[in-house]
Amino acid sequence: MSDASSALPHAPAFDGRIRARTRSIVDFLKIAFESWSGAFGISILALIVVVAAFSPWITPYDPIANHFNAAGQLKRLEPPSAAHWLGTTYYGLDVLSQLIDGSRIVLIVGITCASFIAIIGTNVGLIAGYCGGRVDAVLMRITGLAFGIPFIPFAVVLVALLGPSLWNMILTISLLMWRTTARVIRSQVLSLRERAFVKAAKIAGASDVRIIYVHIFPNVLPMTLLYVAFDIAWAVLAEASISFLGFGDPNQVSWGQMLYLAYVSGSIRQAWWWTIPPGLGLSLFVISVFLVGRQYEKLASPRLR
Amino acid sequence: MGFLSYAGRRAVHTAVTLVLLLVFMFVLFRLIPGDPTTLLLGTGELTPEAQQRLRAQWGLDQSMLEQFITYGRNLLSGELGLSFYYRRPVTEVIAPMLVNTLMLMLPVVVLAIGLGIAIGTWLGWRRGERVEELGAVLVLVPRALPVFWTGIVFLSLFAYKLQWFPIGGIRETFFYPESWYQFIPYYDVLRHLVLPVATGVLASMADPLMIMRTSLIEVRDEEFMVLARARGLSTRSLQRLARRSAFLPVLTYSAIMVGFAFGGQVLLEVVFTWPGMGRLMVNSVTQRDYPVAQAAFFLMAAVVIVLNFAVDLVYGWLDPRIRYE
Amino acid sequence: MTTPTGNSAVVDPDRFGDPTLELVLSRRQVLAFLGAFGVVVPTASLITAIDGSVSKAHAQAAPGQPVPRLAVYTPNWPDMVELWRQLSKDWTALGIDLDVQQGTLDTFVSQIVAEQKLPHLGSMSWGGAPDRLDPDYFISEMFHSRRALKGGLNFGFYKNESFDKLADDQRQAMDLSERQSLVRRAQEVVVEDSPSLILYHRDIIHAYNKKRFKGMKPILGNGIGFPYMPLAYMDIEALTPRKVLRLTSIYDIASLNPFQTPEIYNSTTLRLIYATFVTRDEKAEVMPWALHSWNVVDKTTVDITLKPDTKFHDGKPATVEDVKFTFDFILKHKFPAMGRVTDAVESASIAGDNTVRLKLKQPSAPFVANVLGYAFLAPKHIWENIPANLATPADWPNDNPIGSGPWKLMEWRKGEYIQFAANKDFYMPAKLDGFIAAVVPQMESMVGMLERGDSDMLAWNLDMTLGARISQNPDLEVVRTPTHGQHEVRLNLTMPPCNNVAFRHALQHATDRKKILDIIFSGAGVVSHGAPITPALEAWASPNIKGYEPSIDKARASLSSAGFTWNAQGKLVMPS
Repeated sequence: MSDASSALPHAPAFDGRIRARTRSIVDFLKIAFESWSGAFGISILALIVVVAAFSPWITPYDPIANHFNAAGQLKRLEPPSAAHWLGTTYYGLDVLSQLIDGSRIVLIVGITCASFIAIIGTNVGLIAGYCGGRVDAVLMRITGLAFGIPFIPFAVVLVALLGPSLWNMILTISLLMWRTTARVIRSQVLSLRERAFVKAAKIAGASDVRIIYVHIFPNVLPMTLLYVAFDIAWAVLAEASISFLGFGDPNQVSWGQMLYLAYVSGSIRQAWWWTIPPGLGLSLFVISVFLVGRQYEKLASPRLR
Repeated sequence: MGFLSYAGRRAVHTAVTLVLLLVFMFVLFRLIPGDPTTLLLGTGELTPEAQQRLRAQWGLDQSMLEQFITYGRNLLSGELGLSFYYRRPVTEVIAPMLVNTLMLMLPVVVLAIGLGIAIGTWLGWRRGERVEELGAVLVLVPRALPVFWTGIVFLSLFAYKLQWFPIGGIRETFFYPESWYQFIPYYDVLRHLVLPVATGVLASMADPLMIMRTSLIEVRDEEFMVLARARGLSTRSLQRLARRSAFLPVLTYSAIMVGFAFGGQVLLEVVFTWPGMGRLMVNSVTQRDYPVAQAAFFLMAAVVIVLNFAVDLVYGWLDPRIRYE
Repeated sequence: MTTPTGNSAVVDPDRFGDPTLELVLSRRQVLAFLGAFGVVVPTASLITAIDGSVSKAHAQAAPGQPVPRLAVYTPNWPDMVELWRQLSKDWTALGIDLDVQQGTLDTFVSQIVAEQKLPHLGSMSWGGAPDRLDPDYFISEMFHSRRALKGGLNFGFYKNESFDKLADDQRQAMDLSERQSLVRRAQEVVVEDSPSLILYHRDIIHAYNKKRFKGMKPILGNGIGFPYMPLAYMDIEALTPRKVLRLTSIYDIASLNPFQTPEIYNSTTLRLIYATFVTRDEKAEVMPWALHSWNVVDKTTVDITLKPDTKFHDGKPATVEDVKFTFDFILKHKFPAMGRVTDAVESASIAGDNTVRLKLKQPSAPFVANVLGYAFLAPKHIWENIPANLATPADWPNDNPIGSGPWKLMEWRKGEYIQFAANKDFYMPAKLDGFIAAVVPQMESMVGMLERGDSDMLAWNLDMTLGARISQNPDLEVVRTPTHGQHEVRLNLTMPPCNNVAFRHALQHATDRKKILDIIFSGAGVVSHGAPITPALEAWASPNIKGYEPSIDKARASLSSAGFTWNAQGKLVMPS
């Protein structure tokens, strides 16, 4: 620790309770289990992560293989049976395999988008909040723009422009959803920059970049991480919505896409085995993220205890 | 610094954002491969020679800068241009869709905020009780369900199975009122509105609800409330007092909420066959109908941006500290 | 300030001085954190890359080298996606790997047709539009080398001079049997050269409520419900007191001006109001509609005679003046949407009480079917008097369309429905009082409306499986009609190995059309032997075309005979 700032007086190091709590990952995870809702949430998330990680080995069949019965006919829209626990789709694909395979997209899209959103949003918020003046005005105009543009129509535009691939969807989602994070971080920074330790660092001659990233950033980090968590949920819902409208990546199996195919083939009401699992999966994932996030909010804002 | 100078600065910022938006949309749409004439090529009904003539006729062979200048000049004289797809004035194309959208989204926003405030107050007042904890979790559930999912579930249950409501559209093409209640004016449209509005409200209600609840919790512990309680005011009056103060953050949020409402309504329109702005925006992109796409996107975005501006003004008026930002 | 779940979060440290806010991380910790972030993102991208997310490898195939991954571009419809999944699986037996990219239809058309940027392979489907009944479309438009330009449909760049000659000759062959023989030979050339793998002709499946209506008329390419053929609705009768049919369609029209748009759904719907000069009957034979008769005087002269006592919807009589006016009007303004009229007709002059003589620019066998079947009778007294400030009459809204067709416009609610009333003055009046076409863009809702009785006819292409479910309903009837439309896989003949005819033959053998049709469309359709014109059009189908037997062995044999080999991994290697 060789920053100049470490030589400056600052308030008694940390709240002992929080420090002790975060000392180990286990303790970190224990926070989630403090309430029944948090426990439920983290269990579901853990389940989805495990399923996604091991999906190539867990899927009973190849997710895009068509299945035929003994007479050589396609097993189209079959209800659940011993061979296919969740039945088959319109083209005779095994629903359970698709469900398992689709969980990977949930995590990939969720984590990648949330990371991008966090990076863009936090930086915009930090720079806008700290620098103020014209920089702030420009960045806030751009944020205002991002707020105004309607999300799904814009996603359609980008898909028309770039093509419906997974990366383009991640790009689309990230390009608009950083707006909330930016605003929130900015308002935090606005209050933080008036505080004593920041002023002291300035007097000591620390550069702006240093102040932003070494002094201010760590203090908005909890809020950033919190928004990262919720952005995972929003990103997953956004991907499901875009896929449901038919603009998703046809080369990847995703839960939103399963719902799209069920809808567009006119079977969404009849083939309940095809439509309930992905919808349920999405809902459970998002609820779990909310419930777990609520528990960790207390880290970011002790007032809630 | 007075309020007026704050308001003035904010107005300029908003205007700049709107202009930026215009330019951004203009360029973005023209970057997409193809133009209004290319979709017609795919069916082979337009010969390549005829297509070139059409492009020239519609001014699509000019450079982007030239087209922008023409567009800007027309805009300044109040002309939004002719839709390429419909060959009618853009306003004529957008107006009916806008009406349909407002018909759907205004009730959603009003009801979501109203219900949010009501339930949020109820929950917030019972802070610390078991029912509040449970309520806070339950409220998150509809928020987490994908909008199109809830829509389809509602349709399956209430429209297909129970047949209480129609399965889509704004009105029947053939509506003959029979029983007495069917003669109520707009009965048919109202009947078609119930399910989509319910779906939208369910998805949008959670945010104002939670904000109201939190805000109320904070206000309850304020000094003036403690004082009022000590003075022996009835619970009802206490509630009214608290609600008035806690109301403001919800107001701020409603500006954002309108934006999200407009952004996500495409899903509602698809599931409930509702011809509104969402569908217009998506179709105009597919058809490369630049004037309509630009106008539609701009309209939706401008509503949100202007609302945010209005909220900023309200806050600036109420809290003088903010004016120094 | 509130957190995402609505809880209050710390913003104003002045209200409670929380010591955790004084956290100052060391440089190491910041870097560690960023590093963790930096690990997540590349890992995620690696995972997606392993998925085989699209790469744009358009590597050229060099002699003696393994064939690179063939790039495919296709619309993103579910049936196209499934088609390429099947082909990818099937063609690995030949040692070929595919790289499939999708695009929305509009982008697909701009890239492939407008910009002519087809990669190795692409797929497309063509509907049963009326002018495609004439063989000229699937012969000349798709495969003539003249159409291998921007905006043309020969986006595989097929160039065969003898084929071009056959195509040009059939276009000018006014004698039917001569034309038939030319068309058949042209098809045989196409099947031999295989610039395209014509897959199948998917049946049109519509449904209607048989308790309320009868008299449906299935027509090739039109089913019972499409508006492409005006004859389809003419015999429909109501079985209940309500004599107005409600049908559902995916599209809405864009304009009421028939000179404005060539888009098929819009233009055919308007030709319910504006009677074309001729139309096709249920056997797909050309029959007079607004005309009483026509007479081919010589190779470039056609006399057309209007039906006497024809009245427009506003009651004014239609005369030979209106006929002449129509052609003059189109020739004067050169509407892009009426391009085929401008390309064919030189002039129109009055040659009798009810007769107009048309001089053609060149002899044209499809003239009567495609030009007289597309041009319509326009009222001179209306179109003479439109506002003069428009750039072109095609921009006139025409809110009150007056034609002479079997249906009058009652109301058009944009995006919702369009309502017609029967024109009782038409020479063959419809038996209904009117019909309503409701715009329902989702198949799900369309089916629901039919099942619930909210609509009487589902006028869009159903799947057979859906059809089977619907036909279990005793009130509903599903009608299956063959079509002359087709699904095809087009090859880019300028890119090796697609420029090798043996390679194309191999692909023909390796494509099990029946299996794919069964999987994707439940077998509802006619498997193609590779000819562009469906066997259902007996007048033009060639009996000599045997097609390519689905056989991987034959495919590999074809490749071997051309010098292709396989390497140790089983991948196909170019001949040296």
